Amino acid sequence: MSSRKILFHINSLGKGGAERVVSLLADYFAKEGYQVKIITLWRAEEEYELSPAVTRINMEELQRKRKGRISRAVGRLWDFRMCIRREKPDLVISFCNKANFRCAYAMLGMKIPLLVSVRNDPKVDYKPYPLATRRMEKKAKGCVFQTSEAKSFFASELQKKSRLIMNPVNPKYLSEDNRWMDSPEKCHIITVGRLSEQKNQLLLLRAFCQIMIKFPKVHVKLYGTESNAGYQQKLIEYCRENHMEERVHFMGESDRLEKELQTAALFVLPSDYEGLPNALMEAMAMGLPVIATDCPCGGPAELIRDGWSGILTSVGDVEKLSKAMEKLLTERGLAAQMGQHAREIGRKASPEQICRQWETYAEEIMAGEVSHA
Amino acid sequence: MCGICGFYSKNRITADQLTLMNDTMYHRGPDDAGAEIFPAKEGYCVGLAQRRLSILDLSPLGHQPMHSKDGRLSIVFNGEIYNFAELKKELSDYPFCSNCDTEVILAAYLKWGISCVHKLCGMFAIALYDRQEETLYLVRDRIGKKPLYYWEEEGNLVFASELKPIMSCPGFQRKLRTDVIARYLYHQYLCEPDSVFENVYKVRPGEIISFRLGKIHKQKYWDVKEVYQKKKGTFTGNYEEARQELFTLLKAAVQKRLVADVPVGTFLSGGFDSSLVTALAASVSGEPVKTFSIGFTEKRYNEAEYAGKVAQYLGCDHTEKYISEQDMLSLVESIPEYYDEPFADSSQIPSMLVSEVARKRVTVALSGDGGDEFFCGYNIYEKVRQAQRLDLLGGVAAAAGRLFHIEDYYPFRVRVIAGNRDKETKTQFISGNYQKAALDLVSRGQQNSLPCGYPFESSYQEKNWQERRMLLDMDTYLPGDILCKVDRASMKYSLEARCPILDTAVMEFAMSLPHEFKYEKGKKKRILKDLSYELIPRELLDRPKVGFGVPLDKWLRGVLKEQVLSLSQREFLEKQGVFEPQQVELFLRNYMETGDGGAGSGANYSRIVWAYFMFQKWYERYMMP
Repeated sequence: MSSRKILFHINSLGKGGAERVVSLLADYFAKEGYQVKIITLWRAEEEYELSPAVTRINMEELQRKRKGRISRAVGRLWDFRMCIRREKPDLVISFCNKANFRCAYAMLGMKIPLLVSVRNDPKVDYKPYPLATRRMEKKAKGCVFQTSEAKSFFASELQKKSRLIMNPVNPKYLSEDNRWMDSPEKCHIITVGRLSEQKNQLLLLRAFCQIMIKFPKVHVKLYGTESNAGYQQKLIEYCRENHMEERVHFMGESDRLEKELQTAALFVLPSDYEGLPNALMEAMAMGLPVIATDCPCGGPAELIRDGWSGILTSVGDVEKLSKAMEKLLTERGLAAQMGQHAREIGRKASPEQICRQWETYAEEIMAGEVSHA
Repeated sequence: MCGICGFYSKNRITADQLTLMNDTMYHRGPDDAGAEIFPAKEGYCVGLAQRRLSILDLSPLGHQPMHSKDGRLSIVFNGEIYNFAELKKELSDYPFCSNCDTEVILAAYLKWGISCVHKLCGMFAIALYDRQEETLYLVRDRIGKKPLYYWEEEGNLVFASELKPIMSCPGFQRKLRTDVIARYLYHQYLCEPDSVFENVYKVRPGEIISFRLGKIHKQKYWDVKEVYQKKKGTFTGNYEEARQELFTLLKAAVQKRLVADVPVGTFLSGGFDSSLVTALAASVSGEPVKTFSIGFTEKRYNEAEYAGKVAQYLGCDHTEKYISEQDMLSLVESIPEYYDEPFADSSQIPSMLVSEVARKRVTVALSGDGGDEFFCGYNIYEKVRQAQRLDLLGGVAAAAGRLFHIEDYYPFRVRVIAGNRDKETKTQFISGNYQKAALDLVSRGQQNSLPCGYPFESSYQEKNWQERRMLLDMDTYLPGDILCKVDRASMKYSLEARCPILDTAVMEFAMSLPHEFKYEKGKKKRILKDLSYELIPRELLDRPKVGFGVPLDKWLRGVLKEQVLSLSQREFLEKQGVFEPQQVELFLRNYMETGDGGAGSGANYSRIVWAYFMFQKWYERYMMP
C-alpha cells in the first residue's frame, strides 16, 4: 500500500461532468491507500459527496479579504501556492482550463509534478488564452485527454506525455436492473445537459417540430437547469411560437435519471461542442438508442460508431437530426439493436477500469518515468 | 373556367368560322362548347362562343351562350362568381332554371343594369349582349385574373380569352406592334392594355367596354388608384384587431373558393401565402385538403421538403412530384402554344408542371397569389425603401457624375440610385444597362419605342415609395405577369386556379390598413406572416425566399444555344424586320461568351435573352407562313 499524497484541484464540486470524475477518482485513490485532498475555490449549492477518507480544502474559507480585482487575483494565486507548499503532495491533478492554468502558474519553480486534465473543446477553453496554455504545456508532467481531436490541439511535447482516458460511467447506469428495454409505451425523447447555447437544446426542438405531427404520442423532455440566463425563456418562447408547449417538458435536475431514462424511446445530444459527454455515455451504457451531433472536439464520435451504436449528425443541422429521429422512432428494431451495441461503452468505461488507468498513469508520473504514448 | 370568344361586326363571320375560332381554345374548356350568331341592326351581327370547363352545375343547363328568359340578353362567361348564391337570393324574382353562376349574372344585369358588376365577387371575363340596347359589354374582373382581348378596327369588334381565336378570325392581319417590343424585352410581359398586335388590346382589370353599332366606350368600375385613395387609412383599429379581421376575411374567401361540384385542392409551395391558404382550407374543410407541390432534383432550389412538412402538419393529402431539368426543358417547345402572346417569365415552366400534377387529382386549385403585392412581400420592396432613403444622395452623385464625367465609373448600385432621377419612375429603378440593351435590340427602338418604365407613378399620389411600388405592381406586374402566367399554365391542363388573397374584400381591406401592419422594421408581409404563425409552427415557415429556379443561363448558352442562334441569323432578322440584326449579333455574341452576371450585377442579361428567345419562338409559331 502506498502512502503517497495526491492533491486534486478543481473549481468546485458542483454537479458537472468533471466534478463527478474528480469525486470518483478521489474516493478511489483514498480507498487504494493514498492520502487524498481536494482543493476547491468555492462550495456549490449542490455537490457530490466525498468519502470521509478524502479531505476537502475550500480556498474561499482560507483566503484573506483583499480589495481590488488585481490584488484579489494575485492574492488568490499566492494563497493557492502557499496551500500546495503546506500540503507537500507527491502529485497535483487539476481539472478544467482555469484550474489547470492556476496550477501551472502557482507551482512555478516547484518540483511537485502536475497532471492536468483537459475537458471540453480546447478551441473554446484554451484557444483564447494562448499564454496560459503555453505555460500549462510547459509545466505539466502529464495530461489526460478525452478525445484524440482535443489532444491534437496542443503542442506535441504535451501530446507525447499524455494519455487518452475516458470518463468513468456511474455504476448505477451499468446495473442490469437499469438496462433499457424497448416497449411500445416508451415514447419520450430525452436530452440531458445544462440549458445553454452550447448544449443547443433549441436544435432538438427545431428538429422535433419537423416531425411532431407524425408522432403524436412522442414528447420531448429536457433535463438540466439553465446555465445561460434567458436561454430557457428562449426555448419556452420557441415552443409557444411553434405550438408545441404541450409536447415539450422542462424537467430540471433529477437524482434518478437512470429511472427517467427508462421512459425514453430515444436519447438525443444536440450540442455544439462537448468534451466526452457523460450524459451520452450513461444513456449508451444503459442501452438506449442515441443520436448525437458529431461536434468538436470529437467526443460523440469517440463514443458512437455511426449507424452501429447510434447515429451521428452534423452540428446545427435540423434536417439531418429530424431525419435521424424519424428513423429511430419508426424503425424500433434497428433502434433497439443500436442500443445493444451502445452498451459496450459501459464495459470499456466502468469506474474500475478507468480508475485503474488513472492510477497507473499517476504512478508513472510520480516515478518520473512517463513513457511516450 | 372556360374560354370565350365572339364578335360584333359587319364582316360576315359564319358559325363554322366562329366554331373554329372557339376550338383553338379547346384546352381551356374540354367539357362542352357552344357558338351562336345573332343578327343586329345596321348590318351588324353578334357572335358569342364558349368552350366550357364544368365546375359548377355540371348539367347541360350550364351550357353557353346562355340567354335570359325574356330573350333580351345573351352571355358567354369565363370564371367564377363566388357570391352567386347570395345574389341569387337577392334576385329571387328571376325564374332561375340552373344552379349556375352564369345565370345569376343575367338576372343581376336585368335588375341593376351593367353596374351589376359592382356586386359580382370573383374572377371573370364576361361578354354580355343586350339586344334592347344593341350593346355588347366586355367586362373583366377587378384585378385581371381572367384574360380578355379585343380587336377593334373599322367599327368592328372581335374578342377572345386568348389571341388564338382572334388570329384565326377571317380578315385579321397579324400586324406586329413594334413599339412595345423593347418594353416586353425589359419586363418579359406585355402590360394591359397593350398587346403584341396593332388594334388588339387587353380589356384592363376592372374595366367595362361597351360596344354599340361601331362605337366603343370604356370605363373603369374598379381601379387600384381610386380604391386605394378611398380606402387608405380607413382602418382605425389596432394591430390585433386587424389581424383578427384579416383572418375572418381570408377564411371566408377561402371557404367561398372551396365551393365546387368537382374536386378542389391547393398549390402548396411551403411559402407563407400558399401555406396560409392551405391552413385556412384545412380549417374549414371537413376532409383532408389535397395539396400539390413540385420539387427540384437540384437541392438549392428545392422547397418541396418544406411544403411536405407543412402538408403533414396540416394533415393534408399531399402529392409531390420531383422534376428534373429535363422535365422543364421539354416544356419549352410548348410555351408559344399556350402563351399565344410573347411571355417570358420563366417561372411559367414550373407553374405548368405543378398544374399538371394537380390536374390529375383535382379540377380546381387554390393558390397564394397576390400576397406579395397586397401585403408587401417582394424583396424588391426592401430595396425600394433603401433607395428612397438614399435618393437625395443619389441626386448629389448624379450631379457630381455629370459635372466631372465620372458616372460610368460608379459601381452598378450607385449608378442605379444616381440614375434614378425621373419622378415618374422612381420606384422602378429603370437601369440604363437593361433599358439600353432592350431598346438597342429593336429596330429603330431608340426612336419609336414606348419607354421601358411605366411613367405614371405620380398619379398614385403616394409619398412612401414602398406603397407606391406595391400599387404599381397591382396595376402592372400582377395582372400582366403573375396572373397571366397562372391562367395560361393552369389552363394548359384544364385546371382552374383560384386566388383567395385576391378576394375583393381582402384586397380592399389590405389597402385600408396602415402600412406598418404590412411592413415593419424589415419584416415584410408582417400581418400575413403573423397570421400564418397562428396556424402553422414558425419553424416550418421561416426561411429565406427561394422561388422557382429555372437555369436560364445554362440553357441559353448550352442546349438551347443552337436554337437561339438559328433564330438570329441575319437574313431571318432582316426579313422579320423587328430586331436590329447587327445589335442582336453583337449582344448575343457577348452574352454567349461572358454569360449572366447574376442578380444585382447590372449584367443579369439572361432574362433579356430569354425574352428575346421566347419572342422568336412565338414568332416562329404564329408569324411564319
